[in-house]
Amino acid sequence: MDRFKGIGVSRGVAVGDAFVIESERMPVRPRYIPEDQIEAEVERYDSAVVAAIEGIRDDQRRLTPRLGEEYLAIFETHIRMLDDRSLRDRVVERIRAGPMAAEAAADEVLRQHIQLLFEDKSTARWVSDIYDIQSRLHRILLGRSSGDLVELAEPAIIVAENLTPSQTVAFERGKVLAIAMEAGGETSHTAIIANALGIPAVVGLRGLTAGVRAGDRLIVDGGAGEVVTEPDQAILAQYVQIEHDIVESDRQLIDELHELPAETVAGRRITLYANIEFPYEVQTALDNGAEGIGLYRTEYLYMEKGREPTEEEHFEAYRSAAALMWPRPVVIRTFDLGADKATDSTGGPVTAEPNPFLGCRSIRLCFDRIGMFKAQLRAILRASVHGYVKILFPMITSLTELKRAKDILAEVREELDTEGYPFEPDVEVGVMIEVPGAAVMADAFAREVDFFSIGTNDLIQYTLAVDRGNPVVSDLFQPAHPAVMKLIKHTIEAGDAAGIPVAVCGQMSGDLSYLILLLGLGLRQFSTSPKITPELKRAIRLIKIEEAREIASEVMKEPSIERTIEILTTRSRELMK
Amino acid sequence: MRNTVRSSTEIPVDKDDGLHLRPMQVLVEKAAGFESKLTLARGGKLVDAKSIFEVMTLAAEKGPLVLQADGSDADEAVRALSGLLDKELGGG
Repeated sequence: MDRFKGIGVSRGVAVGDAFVIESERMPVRPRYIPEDQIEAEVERYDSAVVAAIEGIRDDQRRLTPRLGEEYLAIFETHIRMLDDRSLRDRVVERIRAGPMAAEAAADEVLRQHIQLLFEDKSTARWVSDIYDIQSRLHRILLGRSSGDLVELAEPAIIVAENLTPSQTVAFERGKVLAIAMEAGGETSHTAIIANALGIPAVVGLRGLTAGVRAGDRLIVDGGAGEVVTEPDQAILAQYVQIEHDIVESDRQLIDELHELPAETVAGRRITLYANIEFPYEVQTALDNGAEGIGLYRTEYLYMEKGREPTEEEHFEAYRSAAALMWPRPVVIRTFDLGADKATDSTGGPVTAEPNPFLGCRSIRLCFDRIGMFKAQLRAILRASVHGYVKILFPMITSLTELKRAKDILAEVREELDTEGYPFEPDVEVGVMIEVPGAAVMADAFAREVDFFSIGTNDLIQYTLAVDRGNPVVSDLFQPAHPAVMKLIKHTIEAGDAAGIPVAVCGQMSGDLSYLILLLGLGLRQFSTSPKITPELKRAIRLIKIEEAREIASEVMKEPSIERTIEILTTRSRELMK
Repeated sequence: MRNTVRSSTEIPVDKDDGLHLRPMQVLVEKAAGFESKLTLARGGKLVDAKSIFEVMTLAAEKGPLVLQADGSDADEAVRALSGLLDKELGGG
């Protein structure tokens, strides 16, 4: 038995067998070339860079559903590095000076760069990023297949000297029990990604790879920053207990609240729905006490498969979710592809658009690909007899668009009827209110639909003309902007006046101070990631609706963002005491 | 044609954990939009502020960086980049 001490970067305890990843130090033999091939080698380098960037973009698309956008900023940085003029200048200079082959020149330049980064403790943490772009370039220039994708047959603990960010994100979900590696610091990418995946991780474990063989039994304690190899029975029992306690305290919060309704102090009933991307999340939603699926983001079916799902695949996904949730509702949003979620699976690459967020995305893409849209609607209607299914159209901006979507739905109904498929004749239809124009016209929409769902992320983005994924302007993305508040308030009131339910399904309701504000504005339905449902329920049970109303009316009089935030933070802190 | 001017400023890096890749990337992207030659310096090391590859080799801990610009839009560049870095790196 041995103990290794490192830095715990993602909490939790895992017990399992080691899967050791050999460091990828593909040695590159210097290959010299005749002078007349210099230009060809320079060109080969340039196209390798282009291919490497394409490869990163592919990974980005593939992994966004698994990790969420913010974690993928790593890839943007790698693209920037590959595209760097200074890197290119140096590589081209080496090719000419040799004259040598592109891979040998790139290898020399990057190795020198790594040496330089290792000279200072504060820059050494970026070495794994350089390894990453180095291995991408090598694979392309040497024609080797992707060595990054590690196939794990059984769940295991990953042990490595250093993992590149690409390697870390490429693991199959559920197969990695924990990560233990020699390199890295607290802010390393592995740390960030392990947190996102919710698995324990310890980095900075000196001598680990020399002391561990594949298949060794390991304990990884992410909280204490410790790894124990081949533990004896006593130690093992101790850690199994710790692991159990952690899981238990999470469960406790869930159990404590499971049978209790989400209601405010005065007994006002609030409905908590869950947002899901995949059918298997339905179980998590149920376990955590969600009262339905408020938003099923079906575009992930397309992104996960990398192609258009067949009608049967759609049907099976919706049927299983609806059946499992029954009698609770499942709101299925038709595919919200395009813009940042552009994929080949939408039936060929979306044409390059100068302003994709203002272009052919979401419902507009549905209209552009009628066949694809109809296949999905058929599957949703067919699933409607297996549970309580509702249809939600995204990014509607005008009544004309809404009418068109409903007409297509009516055509599909007729087709199914003729073919003899059973379906629920009165499936409820709702629209996402996520474009300012639709929010302003909410009263007109309210007469035409059965429910509203406010998509705060896009509503904020379009109201304030800011791309929150763009780091240069992302600080302008302000949910507290009075214009956003007014649009949300107007939408809630329009829904109330028409007697149709209104839910908020953006990230906004996951923030406690906004939760209070939205309650104060009259919102009674929330749809969030099922992970935070217990947390929200606990908060709601502490809130007095009158106080929330007071806060909301104070905020609605306030024209400044800064003051709004101040009011929200101080008042919500008082309220939650 | 405007004359070539030189402009420079000192930028404090106050965050305890120093520089991160993301603000550097933002800096480099913004720097690329200026015509002037832009240099970042720290501890006797000078690098091209338009290259993330070079900027990442500057020791990244707490302490001041010097930004220097040479060219027709030197003043604007210094103003824009120091404002940006102040926002990204100040405090915390």
